Amino acid sequence: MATSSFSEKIRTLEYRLSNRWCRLSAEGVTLAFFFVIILGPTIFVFSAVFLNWNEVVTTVFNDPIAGDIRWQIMRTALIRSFQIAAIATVINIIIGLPMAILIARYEFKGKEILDTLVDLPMAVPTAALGFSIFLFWGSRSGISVLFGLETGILSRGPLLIILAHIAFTYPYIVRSLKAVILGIDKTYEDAAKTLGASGFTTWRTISMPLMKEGLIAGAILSFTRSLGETGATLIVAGVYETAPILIVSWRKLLLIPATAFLSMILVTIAVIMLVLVRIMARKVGFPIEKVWPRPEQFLSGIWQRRFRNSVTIAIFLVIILLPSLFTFQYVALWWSGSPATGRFESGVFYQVFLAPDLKWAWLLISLVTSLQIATLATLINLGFGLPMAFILVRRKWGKINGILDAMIDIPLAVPSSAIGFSAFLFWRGIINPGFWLILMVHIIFTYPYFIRPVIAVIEGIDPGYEEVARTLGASDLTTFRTVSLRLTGRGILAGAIMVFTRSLGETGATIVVMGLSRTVPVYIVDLVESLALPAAAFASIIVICISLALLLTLRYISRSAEEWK
Amino acid sequence: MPEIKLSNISKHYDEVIAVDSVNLTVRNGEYVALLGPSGCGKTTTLRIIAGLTLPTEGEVFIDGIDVTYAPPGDRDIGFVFQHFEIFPFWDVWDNVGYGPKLRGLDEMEIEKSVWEALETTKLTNKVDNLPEELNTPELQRVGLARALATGAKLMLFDEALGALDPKVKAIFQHELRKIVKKNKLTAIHVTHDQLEAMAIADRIIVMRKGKILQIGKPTELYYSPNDIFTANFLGESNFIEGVVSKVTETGSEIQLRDGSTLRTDEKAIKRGSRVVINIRHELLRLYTIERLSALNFVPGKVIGYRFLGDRHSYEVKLDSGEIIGVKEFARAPPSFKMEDTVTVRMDTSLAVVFKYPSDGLAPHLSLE
Repeated sequence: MATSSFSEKIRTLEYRLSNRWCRLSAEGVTLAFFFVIILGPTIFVFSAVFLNWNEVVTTVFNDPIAGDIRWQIMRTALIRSFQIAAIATVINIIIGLPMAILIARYEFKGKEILDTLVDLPMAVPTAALGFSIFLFWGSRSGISVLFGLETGILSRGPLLIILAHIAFTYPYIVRSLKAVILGIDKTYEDAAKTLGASGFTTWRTISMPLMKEGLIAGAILSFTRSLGETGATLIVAGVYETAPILIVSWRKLLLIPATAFLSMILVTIAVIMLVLVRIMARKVGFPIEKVWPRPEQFLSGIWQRRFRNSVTIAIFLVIILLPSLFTFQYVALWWSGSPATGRFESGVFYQVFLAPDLKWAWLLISLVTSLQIATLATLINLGFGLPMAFILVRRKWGKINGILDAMIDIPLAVPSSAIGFSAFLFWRGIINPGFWLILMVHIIFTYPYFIRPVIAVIEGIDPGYEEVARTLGASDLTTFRTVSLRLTGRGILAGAIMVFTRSLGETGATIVVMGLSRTVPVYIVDLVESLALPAAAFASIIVICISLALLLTLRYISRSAEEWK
Repeated sequence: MPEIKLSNISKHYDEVIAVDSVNLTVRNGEYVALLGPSGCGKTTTLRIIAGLTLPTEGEVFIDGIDVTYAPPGDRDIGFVFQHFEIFPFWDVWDNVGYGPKLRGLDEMEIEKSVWEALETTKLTNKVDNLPEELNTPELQRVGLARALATGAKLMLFDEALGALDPKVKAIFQHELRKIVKKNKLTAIHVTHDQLEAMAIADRIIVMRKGKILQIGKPTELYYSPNDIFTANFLGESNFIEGVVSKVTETGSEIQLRDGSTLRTDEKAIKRGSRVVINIRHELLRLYTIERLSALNFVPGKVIGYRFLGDRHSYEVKLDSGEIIGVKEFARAPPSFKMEDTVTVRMDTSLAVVFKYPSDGLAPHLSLE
């Protein structure tokens, strides 16, 4: 009886709270959170730049000693960042589209495993990923062993940056394309086939136009992720500087006005790009007017398809998977000493656990910090992001909905180091660099990662279920708790895990605001910079394992969600 | 000139057998309906003919050529889908022109075949419209025009009229049959609607659980079904249990469970065997005469009534407990009300006598 009276009390409470005022104040708090905690800090850099305009002009364009050298550096870094992001995205579409088709449309043994492996680089912290890729291509214990070389086949610099960026943005492209391909109504393709179209013609003229918007969305996601990446880039860049790295290094030199100006440019570009894409997505066309029945029929042959699929998998293995997981091989090889000299002191085990600088203790401390921040960021986004998702889907505020919806994506498009720096300026004097500021920044850039999947799930809910609950006598809040939450549960879990993984893997934003605190990805960067490669490798495989476990959980949840539907 | 032959076609999905050893010949110029409840394998069979699904076993022949593994494009077919699947990014003209274009025709020929198809389907005023601007019947027409424009002589309709309102559907049934016959096409029409199948087809193929039960003209299936399921699926039927009490040279007498006797023309049964008499609702009439004990008169009580516009439909409970349906032309308001005691006169000239199935009546009356 006690439990029934308890749930009775909850229902009564929910009934009392289900009134207009409570709802409006809850919505007010949700929106206030969004504007004050998420959006404000992200775009605060504008006011910082304009309030200190003279100082900005002096340091950037008119330095008494350096002249406009900083502007030159800044321009170069920006152009490089865009070039790298564009190249990585184009290559990713070329190698990712056939992979998406393979996973979405073919049935074969090991498909589940391939699907999971494709997602892998997304879950792995980019610093660890970048380090692994560096070991594979750039160190003498990597692929160069195959060719008997004394050094790595690629040195740090643009080529290695592009390879790293291709690896960690690859899953974004494949995932979004896969989702779009699965969403295509296959009967359109059937219709084309009954009209006489070959497999290739069907793809080019029917499926591609249908997946256009998804393709563009995936490309944008990949482009912005590449544009804003810091962790992997720091490790593989050498002396080469991209825009986010420039923010990190200028911040270290305390060139605050110049950093603010660069951050502002990145935020502006991000916002403009988001707007442009929303407009452009509808206007871009595909060449679908003409058909060439005979050559396209040739391309549709079974051997041609098999060839394409094999090449796709081979490229994935060599460019993405092997480099991403190469650290494991490295740690195994270096565990009890250097494979070249046999010196025990050079090995991973000695370096991490026995060396006098106590790397294992630092690793443990940074790991605890990382986990704490990821957990808190996840919980806070859960509390404030969930009502926001419901507001965005359910409240009919006309244009305001559209604008809010676009604003959600801003932290997604802005490089995280720029977000970090902007938030640093926003909270200056209130929250000092360190644990709590890292948390604030992590809340910002993970916010969209939580809200997007939840919105998708809410949009898919049949409102009929909630109406049924209401007609049966449930108050609004009781309906929300017993029906709506139940229906969104898996979306929420998926979003929460995304937030956790992204927070765990972030480097750029953390470096800018960390003060004396350290998270694991930053610690890995520190180790690489001090050339403690064995320790960096060990730290990498620790976070890779944690991320891998999270990824598998995520996949398990989303798969059982499909079965459940 | 297409003639379709299915030889021993089966389709298995893991454990499920969707189509089970189907043999079938559709003659050139014939309009055939594949009729059955949902999940009976009729759509799978159609998709196998189209090449959209590959059979697990068996062969498909079109004009004597084995096309079992040929892609749909090589079969020269027109396929109309249940939800039409009009390409959303093209206007009507481009949708209809896609097929001719894929056949590598030149501009003039493409234009000619598109225009002819649009004229046949009365769409000439919708040429520039996008699918989103059209209503359901118009989309249906585009779907048909797109299939016709390919110049294919074999048309495959997959529940093609299923998405239409009943009134519109009736108009389309006439139109579709006219177009097929006028253009000398061969058509296979999948439907779960028995009225549509009877109205539209030269022959009906009744399918259930992946198997063909019976093939025949609509009237043949309606008046002489060779299976309890077919008798039940087409039209509205009663199934009354009885035992053969007498067999003569001209027919037989069957005693029902309540003791009354029906006389039928059926001779090929043994005295004393259990039977089920299939007699359609419209072959029964109600009388107020109480307890008339004569051949073909059975007493009962009215327990339900529906007004169908042109008919009165009564539910009558016999003394045996069996409930039967009676349909009468509604030339006047209903003459019986609930709880009235009545006598049902059964006209057995068109009744069909089945052996009582060894596994009981229920599995044969289930509409799956």
